[in-house]
Amino acid sequence: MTSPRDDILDKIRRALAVPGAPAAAPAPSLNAAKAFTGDPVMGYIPDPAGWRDEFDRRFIALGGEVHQADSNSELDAVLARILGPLPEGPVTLGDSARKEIPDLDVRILRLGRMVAAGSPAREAVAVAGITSARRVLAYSGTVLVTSRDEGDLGASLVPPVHLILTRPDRLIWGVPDALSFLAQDGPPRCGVLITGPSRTADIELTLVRGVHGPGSVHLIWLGWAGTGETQQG
Amino acid sequence: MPPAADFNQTVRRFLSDPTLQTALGRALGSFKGMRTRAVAELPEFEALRIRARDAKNKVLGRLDEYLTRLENNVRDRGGTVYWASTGDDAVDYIRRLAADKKLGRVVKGKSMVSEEIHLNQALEADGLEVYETDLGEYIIQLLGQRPSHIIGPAIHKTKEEIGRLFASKLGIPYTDVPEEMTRAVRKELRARFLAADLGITGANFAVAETGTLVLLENEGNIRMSTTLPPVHVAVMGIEKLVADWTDLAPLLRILPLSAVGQRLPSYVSFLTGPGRVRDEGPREFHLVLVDSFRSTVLADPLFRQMLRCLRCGACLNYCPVYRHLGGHGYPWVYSGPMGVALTAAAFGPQAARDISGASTLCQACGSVCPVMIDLPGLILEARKRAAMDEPGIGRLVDGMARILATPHGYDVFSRLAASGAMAVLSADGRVKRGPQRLWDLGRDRCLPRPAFEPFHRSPLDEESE
Repeated sequence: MTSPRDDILDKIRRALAVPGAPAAAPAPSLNAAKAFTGDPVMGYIPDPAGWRDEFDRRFIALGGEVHQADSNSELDAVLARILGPLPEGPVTLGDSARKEIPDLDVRILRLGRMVAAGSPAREAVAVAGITSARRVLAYSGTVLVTSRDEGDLGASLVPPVHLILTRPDRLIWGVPDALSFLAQDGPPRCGVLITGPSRTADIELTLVRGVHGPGSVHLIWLGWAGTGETQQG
Repeated sequence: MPPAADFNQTVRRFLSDPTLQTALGRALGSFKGMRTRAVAELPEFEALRIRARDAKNKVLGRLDEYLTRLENNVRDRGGTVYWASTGDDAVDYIRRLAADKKLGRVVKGKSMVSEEIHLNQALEADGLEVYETDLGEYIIQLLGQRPSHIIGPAIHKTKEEIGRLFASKLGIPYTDVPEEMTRAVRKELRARFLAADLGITGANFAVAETGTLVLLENEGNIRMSTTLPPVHVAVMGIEKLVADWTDLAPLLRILPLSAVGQRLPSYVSFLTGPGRVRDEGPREFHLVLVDSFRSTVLADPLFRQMLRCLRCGACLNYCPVYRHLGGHGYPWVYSGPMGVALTAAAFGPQAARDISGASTLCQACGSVCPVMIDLPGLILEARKRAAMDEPGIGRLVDGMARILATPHGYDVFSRLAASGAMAVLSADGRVKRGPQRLWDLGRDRCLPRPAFEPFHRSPLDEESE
């Protein structure tokens, strides 16, 4: 008796032996055909000098907030501004955030917040999660988080607020760049491209943020001015 | 597939439902607007459609090889692969898995394949608690209905109807404020996510090269379902493959653009096998590959292009028939133009006879399809096959073809047809006598009275000679 696997593969092989019909002319597009001479998968790539502005514009348009911290004191001020108004409760850190700012736990504690170890139950009571972004996509205002750093998946998903730390050298243009980065050396168990807050429009198309994931996302650019004070650990 | 209801009655019922008509008009208008604005910003969009089509054709042309490659890579990463010849096989596997491992609390991400194979009903019959976790799907589950749109399952419901539903089923005070309703669902489902022992999702793509599943969403419920429970089962049609990460790029770009005009949705998850350490995700990962009708469709030289379909919903949004009927007017869980073509391909042309006959063949669906499926052509073909199935029609069409092939035959036939049409039509073009089917055809429209003199015999024609 053959297995379902063999049956399915056999049916596929017999199906593929049936010659295909000649390709029909596609229906005319609703979009006026535009000449495009570049790589259609990458699309139009603007001057890299404008990528930061493009990223910020898209991230903000999706409901995110962009901050910049070029020194440790500026970082403390940004953290205080974001975490200060939040209700009582701890903050959870992904390992990538600790690598980014080695004394981040201390800085959070100085703001009067406890730091919760990453676990679903702890993350569920945390008021904010902090991770780093491995890559930042200007094309869509997107950040890449992966499971290569312990705690990053939970910290970027379960608390209602997500803080993302990143640096200028992580800025890339588009989707193909992100996929190349993910696939190199074999993909991680989990990688996530995050574009704005969790959202839905399932009830009468009314946009609501924070359905299951964070309703509020903040991106903090570190070292953009090149002072070196917020150096990576 | 459920038994066909009386199509004409169904159409009349939906057309005379003002709430449905308002909801559909508003939703589809919004979806189209978002897509149009996003596409207008991208000069490469048409070239991207070609790349997306070619990427799917490449994998479908050697589907057996890519499927085995995917299987090997999923297994190498510690996952389990199950091949399901039918929907029932897939359901049975998941039921057995749940029973063997004593998994009783299920959280589900939106999956059209699971709708197709009626997975929820089977698991609930076994006593499992099953929670749909996409907000729209959750509403649909509470209503006991099927989704009315691929990406907007509850677009046919008003906020007042949903408010009453939540008050009755969740025991919360009535509210029709979407933010408050969403907060209530977040609270309700958060507890379910944390307690769940099985997460079930579909997959938008599977990368054969590495055994990676790719899932797109906006809410975060799929991330929850694939991260928190200790066991993750992904149910996927065998056509959802891409060869490698290079081919994934055009598809990943074009799917959210076509669906709702997003450059990327809130979350795109790339999952490769089960987790290896704490917080990396489920300890077990099972991939259920569902054939069902797919290998049969692959054997059809014309309809095999349906296996390129990304389930983006763009063809639904642009279809004037779907705009007035909504998804529940279609015979199967797949609706709109792609649903008509897929129904005909999977169950035979008779299954889609009425709904393919309702198509206006306006071509809008084919124009927006991100993988360039010739949907108008397939719907026309479904119509043709359904007609040719009827007794005597084949001989009639052959005979007509012979008559019309000669100038004399054409002339005589057109004069007879004109006389016949004038006999059944009144001066204002309404049907005044004839068989029932003709009455049905003329009920809501005035038909043009034909000229007795055929066009090719008209004075204009003679002058030009």
